[in-house]
Amino acid sequence: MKSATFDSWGVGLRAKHFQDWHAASSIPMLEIMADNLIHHEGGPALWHTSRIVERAAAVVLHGVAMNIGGTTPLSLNYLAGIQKLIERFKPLVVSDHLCFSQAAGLQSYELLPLIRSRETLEHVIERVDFVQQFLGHQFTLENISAYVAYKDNSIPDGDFLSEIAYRSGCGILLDVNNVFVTSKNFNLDPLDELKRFDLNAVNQIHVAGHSLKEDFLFDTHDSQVCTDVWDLLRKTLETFEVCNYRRVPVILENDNSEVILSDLLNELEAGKKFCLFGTPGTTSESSGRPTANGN
Amino acid sequence: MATEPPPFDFKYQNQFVEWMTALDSRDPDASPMAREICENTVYRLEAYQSSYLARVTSTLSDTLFEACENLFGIELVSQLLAGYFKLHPPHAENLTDAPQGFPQYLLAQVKSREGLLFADLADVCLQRWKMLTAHDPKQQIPTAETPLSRMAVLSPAAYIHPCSNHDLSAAWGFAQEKTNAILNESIFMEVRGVFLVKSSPTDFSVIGVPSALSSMAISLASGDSLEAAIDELSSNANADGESIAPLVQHLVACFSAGGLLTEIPFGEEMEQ
Repeated sequence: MKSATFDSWGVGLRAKHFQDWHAASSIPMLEIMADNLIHHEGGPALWHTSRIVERAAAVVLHGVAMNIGGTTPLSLNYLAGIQKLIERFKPLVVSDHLCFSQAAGLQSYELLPLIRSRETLEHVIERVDFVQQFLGHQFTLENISAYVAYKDNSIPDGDFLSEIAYRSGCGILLDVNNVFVTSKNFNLDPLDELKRFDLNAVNQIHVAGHSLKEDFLFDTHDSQVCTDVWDLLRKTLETFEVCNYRRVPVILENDNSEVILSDLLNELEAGKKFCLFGTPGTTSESSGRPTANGN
Repeated sequence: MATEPPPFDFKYQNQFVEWMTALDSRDPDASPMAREICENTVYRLEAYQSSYLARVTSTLSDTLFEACENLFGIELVSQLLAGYFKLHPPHAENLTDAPQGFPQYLLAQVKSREGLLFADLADVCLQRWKMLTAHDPKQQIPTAETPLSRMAVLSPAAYIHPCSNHDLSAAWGFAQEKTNAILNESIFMEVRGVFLVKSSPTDFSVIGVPSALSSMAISLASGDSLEAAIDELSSNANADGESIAPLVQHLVACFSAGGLLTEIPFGEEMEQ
C-alpha cells in the first residue's frame, strides 16, 4: 500500500486509456491485468503501466489464465511472470479466478465453471498452496459468473470459495456482479448467495456490467453497472461496516472499447456515493443506474 | 504437485474445452459433457462456445489483423480465422500468439492473387504486432533524440499515428536483432532509398530500399493504407500477384526491422 489513507475505489487499467492516464492530474487505485504484462516481457504495455502506476493511489494485480481449477500443471513461467510483477508493482492484492480455462493441452481463453465437489475443493486447495508458496504472497480467488450448473455440484458457490479461503489462507475477490448474474441464472436470491461468502476473507471487490442473452444473464463487462448490482454492493459494504469495518478495494471493470475514461470515472463516483451515502436522487430513471450529481 | 495430474477424474474439463474449440458441433445437447450438466441449462453451453469463437475471430480481427479487416472485411477475416482455429485449436497461453500459422494456412487455402495478398497481409500483421509489442530493455522515452515531425513508422496500417512512444520504443528494441539480416539481403538490390533504423537512442543503421518498392514506400509514408500502396506498386510494376508477393515480403522485413522512415531521399532526390 502506497498510502495509509488511499481511496479504496478504483478502476481497471486498460490499454485504450493509457494516453488519458498519462495526461491525468490524479490517478485513483488501479487494477492492472497481469496477462497483458507477462508475455513478450511486457512490451509497450509494461512501459505505459509502469509510468501510470507510479502516480496511482494504489494497485491491485489481476489475472485470467492461472487455470487454478484445471488439471494441466500450473505454468511455472506464468507464475514467475506474476512474481516479477509483484516485485515491480507491490500490489495490495494478487488475484485470479476460481475456474478452469485450459484442458487437454488446449486453451479456451474463457473462465469455465468447476464442478463444486469435495474432490475439486481438495484439488484447488492443493494448487493454491503451491501458488502461494511459489509467489511468497497471498493469492486471492474471484467467484465467476456461471451459465450452466453441473449435476454433481454439491457445495454452494459462496461456501465453496469460503472453505478454500479458510483452509488455504487465500483471499476472496468478491465479484458482486458475478454473484448477481449467477444467482439470477439459477433462480437464487443474490443477497442470500452473497451472504454465503466469508466476508472476513474478502480483500477485494469487483463490480461490472452484464447483458441479457436469451433468457439468462451474461457477464460481458461491456456496459454500465445496473442499479441492482450497485444495491447489492451497498448491502455488502454495510455488512462490512457492521461486522468488521475494513477498507476493501472496490474496482469497477469495463472492457468496452468505446467507453471514455471520464464516463467510467463518473460512473465510479456515482456508484461510490450511492453505496456509501445512499445519495437520494442519484438514480437515473431512464437508465436505472446511479449517475454522478444527477448528470 | 505442479507437474502431477490429479488423482481423480476431471474428464469433463477435457470434454468441455475440446468441444468448445472443435467448433463443429454447435448443438450443446450433442456435446460429450452434456451429461454432466443439469438438463435445464444444457442449452446455455452454446454461450461459452460463442464467446470463445468471438474471441478467436472478431477480437483478433479487430486487433492483430486490423489491416486485413480493413481490406477484406470483418466477415471474411472472421470466417477464415474460424476455419484456421477449427483445424488448429489454440495451445498458446496468449491469444495473440495463437494464430502464428494463419498466413501459411491461408496460402494453403487459396491460389488467387487476392488470396496471396491476404496471406501476405496476414504475415505483415503478425510482423507488425511483433514490432509493436517487442521489448525495449532500456525503458526510455524514444522520442528524445529524433524529432517526431521527421519520422514515420512504416507499418501495414500507415495511418497508425507514429508519435506513440511505445511504437517507436518497441521498434528500436526489435530493430536490433533484425538489422543485420536485412542489410545482408538488401546489398544485392538496386537501392533507391533508405530506411533509417534506430537500434538505440544514438545508433543508426541504414537499410536499402529496392527501386521496385520505392513507390510503395512513398505511398505508405504519405499516409496511404497498405492496400493502396500495394495497388500503387501493382500499377507501376505491372506485376501479377506472384511477383508482388516477394516484394511485399521484403518491405515487411524492413518494417520488422523497425523501419523509422526519416527524410528518405527517394526518386530524383536520390539520383542527384
